[in-house]
Amino acid sequence: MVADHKQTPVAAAAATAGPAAPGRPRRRRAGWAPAMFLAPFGVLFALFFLLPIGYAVYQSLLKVHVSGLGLGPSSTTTVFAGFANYTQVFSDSSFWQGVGRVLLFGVVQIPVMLAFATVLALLVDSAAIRFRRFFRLAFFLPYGIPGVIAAILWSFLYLPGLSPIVATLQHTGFGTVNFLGANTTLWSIANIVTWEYTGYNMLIIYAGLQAIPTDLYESARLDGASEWKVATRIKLPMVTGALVLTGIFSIIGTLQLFSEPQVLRAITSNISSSYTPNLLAYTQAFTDNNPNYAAAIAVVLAAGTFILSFGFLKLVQRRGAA
Amino acid sequence: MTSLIHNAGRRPRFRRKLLLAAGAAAAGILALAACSSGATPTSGSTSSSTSSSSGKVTLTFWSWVPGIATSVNLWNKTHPDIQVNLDETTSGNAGTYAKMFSALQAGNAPDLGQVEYATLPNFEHVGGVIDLSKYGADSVKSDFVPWTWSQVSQGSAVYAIPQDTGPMGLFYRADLFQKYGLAVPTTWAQFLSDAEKVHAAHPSVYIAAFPANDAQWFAGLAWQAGAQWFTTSGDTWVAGIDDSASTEVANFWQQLISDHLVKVEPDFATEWYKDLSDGTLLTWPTAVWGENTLVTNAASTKGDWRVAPMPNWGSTKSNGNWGGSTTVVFKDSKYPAEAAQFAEWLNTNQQSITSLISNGGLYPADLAGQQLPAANSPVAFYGGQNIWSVFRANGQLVNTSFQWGPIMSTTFTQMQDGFGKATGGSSTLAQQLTTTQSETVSSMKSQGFSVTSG
Repeated sequence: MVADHKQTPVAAAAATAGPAAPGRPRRRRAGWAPAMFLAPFGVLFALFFLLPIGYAVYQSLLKVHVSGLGLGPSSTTTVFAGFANYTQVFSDSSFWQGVGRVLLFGVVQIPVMLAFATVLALLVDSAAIRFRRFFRLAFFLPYGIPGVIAAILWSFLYLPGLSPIVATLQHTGFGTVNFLGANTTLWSIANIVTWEYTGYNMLIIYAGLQAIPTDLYESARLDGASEWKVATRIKLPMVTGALVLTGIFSIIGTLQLFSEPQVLRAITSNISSSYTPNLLAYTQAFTDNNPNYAAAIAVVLAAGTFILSFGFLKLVQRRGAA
Repeated sequence: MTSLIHNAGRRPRFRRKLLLAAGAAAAGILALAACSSGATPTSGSTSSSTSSSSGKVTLTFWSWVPGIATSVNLWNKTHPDIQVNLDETTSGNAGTYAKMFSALQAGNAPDLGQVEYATLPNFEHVGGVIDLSKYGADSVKSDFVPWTWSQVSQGSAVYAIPQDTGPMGLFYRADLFQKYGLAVPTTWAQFLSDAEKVHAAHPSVYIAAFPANDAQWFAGLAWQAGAQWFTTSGDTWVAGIDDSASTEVANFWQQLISDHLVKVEPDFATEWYKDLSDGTLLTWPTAVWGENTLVTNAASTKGDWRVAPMPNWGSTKSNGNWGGSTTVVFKDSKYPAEAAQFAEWLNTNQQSITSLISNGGLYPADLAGQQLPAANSPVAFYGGQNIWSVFRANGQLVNTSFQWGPIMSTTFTQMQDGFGKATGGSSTLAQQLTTTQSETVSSMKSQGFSVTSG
């Protein structure tokens, strides 16, 4: 919830700084008209973004204090806790294990997924492919299936007694493969996520490819460049921007990993209640009845996501400049 | 909202516009709704009581008991001035408790709710349930099995009306026991030797499953062995989750797991239902309400199952309890007296209880209800066995002083996480009991509870 706002500061700045900028000529004409036009956005932005973040931050500074047995209506009081919840987050080993897990997940899954997406985009874009429209749609289709449903579908392919994959591997001499073991579950989740989002990322990269002016290809061909050379020397460098965008989206998505592990928890005990930071926040809020601590986790996670996304952007930009 | 958390990251750009549009649309609808006068109480709404000018009271009730609607309809027919709207929810741990806790926080909880004994102290702790002794609850005290009453009361306060109990028993496949030449175990030692015998001869067959995801199941087994997880001494909680009885149970199942004699898999899951149906699992040690679970989810095994008393630890007969629930009145109710009246009626009216037994598979906490024909007839699914008599006899053996702690949902989660590690191979069940004990104590301490280790 909180983590959703990292892309809006620019818009926010535009919204507030626009009309009243000093030193502009004919300032008087601005009047209330721009404010009126901005109001619908401003009100909704405040209502659905600023207010919830503010509320989450406020909640994260509180703490429920229990006295004695803690039973009965007057045994608990909500008190101001300062940064106590935050101190707890930073010293919570299950939080850091969850962070480590999603980072490991991201380091492996994001490059694999983006490599797939890029190859598919190049194939769909290349002149050699027939039924281009069909493939474009087919690759994109998994994205249209909600994450929860996708996880349920895949869970049937992972369950040892029901899965045709497990049965096939068993009959062809690969032995019994356990997709839901202590060391395999994370990669089974990575597989679901890759399946879901490769097509989506492909489409963004494909859109980037479509934006490349065709005269570039023409001159390359005149210079005797092969399809492969065109792909590696022209197309790939020209879609770096799209790749960066998909990279950032994927980092954000990975840190917020939630629905796939939550669904798979029903079929394996190898996913703990603090498997990912978001799952930990969920458990704290809805199982442990500790919304204040959950709010602190959410705020820390949002800040972390913000830092990582912008860190990645800076890194890529510096490389681009060098 | 759960999907929002995740999706927000993967598809931010386009979704934001959609969300804003949806928000605007919702705001518009709200405005329209505000304009249209004439408050029509909508059934199934999450808000609490509504009342019309005629003095008629409408109450909302969240419950997941199958077929409880029959009892509610009966009430509505006989009590025209107090109408109850039933919201059929998913079971408590599958999300309804989370919803109830959030609703309590938001101040819009329903009037009445289904709450299991183990979770009731959690609701007392957040101040979410009304003391029913103010509304005549004491008058029905003598109707109930005594230990259920002690689980719903604290001192003179009564926080719920007991509905059903979950005395445990051993459901077993009589046909397969005969086929494999096994004797129905009367002790856990025999259970172990049966497990070894059948698994050695038939590697794909197991005596039972071990559900690491279900700490409440384990609690029932520990309860049978004489565990005492929580007690109170004055104003202080004494926690003993890793007491000697619980450790004995943990070590027993650890041996079965280490020797691959049980199938480690989550219960109430697709694969588990399949294993109960196709003969992979020979027994299910569970509570009386498991009767309904098998009828519903292993229909193809009709006539194959029977029920025996739980295997004992040594020669002393004992039993545990798993589940069973209560009806509570939430703090937000505008008509607590009427709600209390319904809660008492629901769980003591013999017609209502009959329906709960035959439609919901519940075993009543009401003493007279246990004598009803519905709780004493042979059941066709169990080959005409009068399974109820087994549970009634063994219900007497349930250790009545077992007490739940105030943050059981946290304790259960910690135990399940720990058991997941143990079945994953990096630890043992007994070690994880000790971990759960220390985690629960430190969770309680950090919240301010007065607690010591027993």
